[in-house]
Amino acid sequence: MPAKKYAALPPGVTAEQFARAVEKFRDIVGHDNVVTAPEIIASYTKLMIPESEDKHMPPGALMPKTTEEVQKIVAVCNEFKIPVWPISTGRNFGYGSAAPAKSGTMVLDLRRMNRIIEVNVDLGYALVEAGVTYKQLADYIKEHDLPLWLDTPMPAPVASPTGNTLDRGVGYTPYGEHFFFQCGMEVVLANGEVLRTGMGALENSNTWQVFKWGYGPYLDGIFTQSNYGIVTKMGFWLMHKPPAYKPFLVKYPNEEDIVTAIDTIRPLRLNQIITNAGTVSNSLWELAVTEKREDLYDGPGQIPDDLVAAAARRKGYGAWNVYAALYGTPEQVELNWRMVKGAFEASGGDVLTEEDADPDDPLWKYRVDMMSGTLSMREFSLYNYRGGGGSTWFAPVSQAMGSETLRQMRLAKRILGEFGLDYVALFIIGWRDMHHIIDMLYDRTIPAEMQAAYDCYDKLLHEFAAEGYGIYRTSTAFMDKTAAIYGKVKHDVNVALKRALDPNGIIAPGKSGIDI
Amino acid sequence: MNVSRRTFGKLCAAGLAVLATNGPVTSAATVLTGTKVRRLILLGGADRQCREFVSDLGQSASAGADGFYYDGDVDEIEMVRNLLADLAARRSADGVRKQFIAGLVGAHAYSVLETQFRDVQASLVVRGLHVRRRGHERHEFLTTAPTAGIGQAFASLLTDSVDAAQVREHCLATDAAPMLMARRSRGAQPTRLHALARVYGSVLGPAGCEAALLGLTRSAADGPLNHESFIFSV
Repeated sequence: MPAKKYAALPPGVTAEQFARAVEKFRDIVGHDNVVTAPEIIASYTKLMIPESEDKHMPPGALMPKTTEEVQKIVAVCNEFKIPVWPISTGRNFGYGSAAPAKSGTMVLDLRRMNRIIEVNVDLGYALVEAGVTYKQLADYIKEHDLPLWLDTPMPAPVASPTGNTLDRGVGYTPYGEHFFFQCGMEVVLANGEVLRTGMGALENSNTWQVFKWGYGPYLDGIFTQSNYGIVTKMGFWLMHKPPAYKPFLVKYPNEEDIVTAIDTIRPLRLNQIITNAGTVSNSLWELAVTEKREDLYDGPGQIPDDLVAAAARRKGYGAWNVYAALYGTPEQVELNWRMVKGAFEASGGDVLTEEDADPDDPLWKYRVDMMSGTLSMREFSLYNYRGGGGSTWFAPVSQAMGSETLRQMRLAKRILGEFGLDYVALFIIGWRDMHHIIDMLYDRTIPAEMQAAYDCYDKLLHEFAAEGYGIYRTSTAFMDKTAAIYGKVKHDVNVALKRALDPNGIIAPGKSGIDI
Repeated sequence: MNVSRRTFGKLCAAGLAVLATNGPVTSAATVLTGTKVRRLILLGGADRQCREFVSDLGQSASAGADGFYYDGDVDEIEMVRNLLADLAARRSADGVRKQFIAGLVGAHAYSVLETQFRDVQASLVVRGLHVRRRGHERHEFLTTAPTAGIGQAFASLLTDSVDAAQVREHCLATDAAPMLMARRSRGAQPTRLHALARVYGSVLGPAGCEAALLGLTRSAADGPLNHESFIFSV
C-alpha cells in the first residue's frame, strides 16, 4: 500500500493546493531543497519536550540559500497561506528542537545560508548568515589564527549563534548574555521587504556591527523570541582573547549554602570583578552529567536527598558548585583573584583552581572549556541520566539574591517530587539577575511519565508565576501558556504587531504564543 | 569487525578514502547483494552493548561492514558529518543502489546524530528508543513502509525471555501492511539487543536473513539500556 504523501497539511490548505505551492517552492530553491517525504521530515520532528510529535508535524521543509530566495518563498507563502517555521540549524534541544509550534507549518531550514560574511578582529565582531554554526566560526578563528573567543551555549558545535541569540540563549564567558552582544540584523519581512536594523539601514554605513541603536525605535528586540520576520543575517560581538584566564571552582557542602554562594558572587559580579556568567550547579546536576540514575536509585518517585548527598560525598561534589573565571592581564587577574579567593573562603566555600583541580575531571574540564568559549558536548550526558529521550528546560528568572534561592529551590523540588521527577538544577548568575535552570529529565517511552512531565511543567509555570517568577524562554509545548502568564496587555500588543507586520500569519504561528 | 575507539578516526578516514578512490566494491564498508551494490555503514557508541549490537547487526545483515565509533564528542560529530556528506554526494556517482547507515548509540549522542542525518536529507528507515528502568524495559519504534511491523517482530522474539518488556511502534505510513514476519525461537532466547540486530538485519540484509533468527544464545547480562537504534538511507 502507498505511504501517506504528506505528514501534515497547513490548516485550510488542500493536498492539491499544497502540491502546487511545493512546485513553486521548487522553482525557487531547486527540487532537492524542498522535502515533503515523511521519511525525511521525520528528522525534523524528533522531540525531547513532553508532547507527541503529532502536535508539531510539518508537511515539509524548505532550504533556501540566499536572502532573495527567502523573499520569494514568503511571496508563495502569502499566496497559498502556507506558514513557515524558520530555523537556523534547529538544535534547540529541550525547547522544541526543529519542529514547529503547530502542525501544518513548513520548516524553513536556513542551514544552507551558512556564509561567514565578516570577522573583524580589531573591533571584535562577526557578521554571519543564519545557518552558520559555532563550529564553523571556531574553525574559521582557528584557521586564521585570530585572537578571538566565542561564547557558546551547551549544544555549541552544532548550534548557531543566530538561532541561540534569537531565542535569547546564554553562554558562559563575559559575553554570555547573547542578545546583549548582538549588533545588527538583516530581516526578511512577511511582505518580502528586507529590513536592516540599526545602522544597517543606512547606505554605505560601516557601523552596522558596532553601534546597536541606530536612529528611532530600536527594533532588534522585536525579532527575538518572535514571529515578526525571518532573520537571515546577524552581527554580534566577539571577545578578544584575554592574556590571562583563571577558572575556579568553589564547593559548598550544604544545600542551604546556596544563599551564601549567591550573596558572595553578587557584589563581585555587579562590580565586574567576576565578569562572566558563572554557574552554581547542585550536586544532582553534577551526578547527572556523570552517572546513570538507576545506579544511584532504583525506587519510585523523586530520588531521595540522602542518596544524592551520599553519592555527591563519594564523588567529591559539593551540594552546590560555583564555576566562574577571571579574565584580563596577568596583573589584573592576580589582583582580582586575591579579592575573589578571600571572599569565597570567608563564606565557607572550598576554593579550587587549575592548580588544585583534577585536570581529568570531566565536570571541571567542560566548565573550563565552556567559560573560555571552547566547544564541548559533555553536558549532553545529562540525557543519559534518566533515559528515554525526554528533556525540557524550566528556567525562571529572579533577582541575584541569596534570599531568592532556597525559596525557589524548595518550590521546584516539591512540585517536581509530586510528579516523581528529580531536581537537576543550576543557577546562572547575570549582572543583577539569575536564571534558575532546571532540566526536567523524563522518559518519553512511558506515556504516563510524559504526561507527568507536562503536568509538572504546567504546575511549575503557574506556581512560580504566582510567586512572581516568570520564565525567560520556553518550549513549543508551553508558548501559549507562558504568554498568558505575562498578561493580556502584552499579548495584545504582540498580536497587534503581528497583524501589522504579518497579516496572513505566515511566519512561525504560535511562536511565543503569538498568533492571529 | 573493528570498532575500537582508538581507530575511529583511522577507520572513518580510511572508509572515506576507499570510497573516494576505489568505489564500493573494494570498500570495507560495502556489501554486495547479488549483482546490485548495497553499501552499509555501521555506527556504534562506545559501550559494550553498542559494540555487540553493531557486530551482531553486521553478521545478521551478512555484511562485511566496518563499524565506526560515535560517542557524541565534538571531533566525532565532525567526522560523521563529513562521512555522511561524502556518502550522500557519492551515491549516484558510485552507482550504489541502496546505501544505509545503521547502528546503536547512547541517548546523548543520538540527539545530535539525528540532526546530522537531517542535514544530508537522509531518509528514515526505522528508529528505536530502548530504555530499561527498575527491571522494566521499553522499546519504541518509529517505522516507515519498508519496516512496518518491526515492533511486532521484535516483540515476538522477546516473548519468553523478557517478562516486562513493552514494545510500541508508530508507523509513518499507517496504511502500510506489516512486512516483517514475527519468528519465535524454540530454543534459547536472544537478548533484546541480539533480537534487535536480527530484525534490523532482516531489513538490511539479503533475503533469507530471517533464518538467522533461530538458534540465538542468550548472554549472561544485558547491562543498562538507554540507547537509540536507527537505520537511515543516505
